[in-house]
Amino acid sequence: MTVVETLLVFVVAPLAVVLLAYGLVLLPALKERARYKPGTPWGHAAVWYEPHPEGGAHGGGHEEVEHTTGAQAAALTIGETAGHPRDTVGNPRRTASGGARGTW
Amino acid sequence: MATELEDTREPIVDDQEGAQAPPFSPAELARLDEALTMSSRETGLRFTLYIGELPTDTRAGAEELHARSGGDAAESVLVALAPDQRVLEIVTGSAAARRLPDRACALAVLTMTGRFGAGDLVGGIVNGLRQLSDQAGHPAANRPRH
Repeated sequence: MTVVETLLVFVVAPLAVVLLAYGLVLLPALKERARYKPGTPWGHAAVWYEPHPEGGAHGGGHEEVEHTTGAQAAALTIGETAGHPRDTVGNPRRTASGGARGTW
Repeated sequence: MATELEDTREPIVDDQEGAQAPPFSPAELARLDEALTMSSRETGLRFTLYIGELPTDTRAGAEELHARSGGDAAESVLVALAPDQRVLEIVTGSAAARRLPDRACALAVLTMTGRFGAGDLVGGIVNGLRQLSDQAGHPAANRPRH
């Protein structure tokens, strides 16, 4: 066996095997998005999710109508006084009446 | 404060084309979507979920969000969590508070923060929503009569 062959068999081949195992272990973790860990910065824009409207409209035109605030606010002003979230000046009225708070 | 809290309300849809990637994978979004929609449908209350920065006075910020949450605010329940501040706020409207007393909310908060502390945001949210909707039960109209 020449020196080159010895190196190939005893150094390069084991190294290739080790690197393959390394890659196989790390690949799934690379594809996965960063998992939240408490204490680390969140780094995402604020999101506000709401339930799908009754009837299961999925991205249809119906949904658009429901989320334009103008028409809805007007409807609420006329129809409802109880749940109406604005005072006479137009500022958001306090609607909260309970709940809980916690930290982690 | 109004500039700080942007109105980003939206139902969860599959084809999101935001400039920034959503913080959750599609599978996680599907779980959140189902939890939100089913708990709202079962109870007749309106659960919304806010994830993002809250002002320093987190309670006031969450209450302001609740006032702007759309629909009938009395019947809506806001679950607001600020992962950076590590704060969770649940805000109930006047009608929702009758079916979800503060003690029930506190219990759900405990469940959720336990999971959040372990780094499991989605699991905590899903379990907390389930607990809240179990506590609230069905709306009076759907309840079986004795």
